[in-house]
Amino acid sequence: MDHNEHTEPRVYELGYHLVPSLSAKQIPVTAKAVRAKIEQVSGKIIAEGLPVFIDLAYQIVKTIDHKNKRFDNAYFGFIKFEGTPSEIAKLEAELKGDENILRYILVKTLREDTFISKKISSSKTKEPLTFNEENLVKETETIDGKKGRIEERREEVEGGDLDKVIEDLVV
Amino acid sequence: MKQCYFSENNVKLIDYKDTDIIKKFLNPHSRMIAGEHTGVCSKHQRQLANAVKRARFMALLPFVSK
Repeated sequence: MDHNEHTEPRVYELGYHLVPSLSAKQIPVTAKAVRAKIEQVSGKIIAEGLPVFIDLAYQIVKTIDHKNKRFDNAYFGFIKFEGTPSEIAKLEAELKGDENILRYILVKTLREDTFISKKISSSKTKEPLTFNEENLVKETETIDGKKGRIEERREEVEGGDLDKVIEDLVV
Repeated sequence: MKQCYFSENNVKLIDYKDTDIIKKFLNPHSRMIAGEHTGVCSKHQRQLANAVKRARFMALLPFVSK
C-alpha cells in the first residue's frame, strides 16, 4: 500500500484482538497502551470501544517465542481516529511488534457512527403499551359513551317511534 | 421490485463489526448471497463484500461453515 498518495488527514479505525491470556486487570492497561500508540502519531481520537471478551469464529494461530499458539477467544476493541497516511505507516510498524495484540485491522472509515444495528433495532421497536390511569380513563369514557347511545335508542324504540327509528337507520 | 436494505436505512458505509446485519446476507455455508436475490444495490453489494472480508479476517465471521 502506498501511504504517500494522500497527505491530508483522514478518519481511520483500528480494530484489534488482545490475547486472552491477559488477566482482567491487565486488559484496560493494555487498551490504554494501544490508545497511547495512536495518540503518539495522531492527537485526535474520535471514538473508542473498550475490549470485550468474544468467541472467535475460527481458531487464530500466532507465533510467540518460536512456538505456535492457538486462540479460540480474544478481547476485541476498536479506536476511531484522525490521521495522515504517513502516520498510519508508523503506527502499523508499532502494532506489528506488540505481542499482546493477537490481530489488528486498520481501515479507512467515516467520522459518523457506522455501527447501524443499534439504530435500526431502536427505530423499529415501537413504544411499549403502558396501562397508565389516563389510558384507562379514556377507555371507560368511550365505553360509557356507547352505553349511553344504546340506552337512548332503546328508550326511543320503547316510546313507540319505531318507524322513525327504522327510517333514521335506513337513511 | 425489492428495495435495497442499506439504502432504505440510509447506510453510508457498511461496518465490518456489524456482524448481525452482515449475517442476514450470508447463506448457511457463510457464503455471500447474490444481490439479485437479496435486492441489495450494486454500491452496497460492493461495500458488503468488503465488510464480509474484513469481518472474516478479524475472525468475527467464519470463512466457511457446515
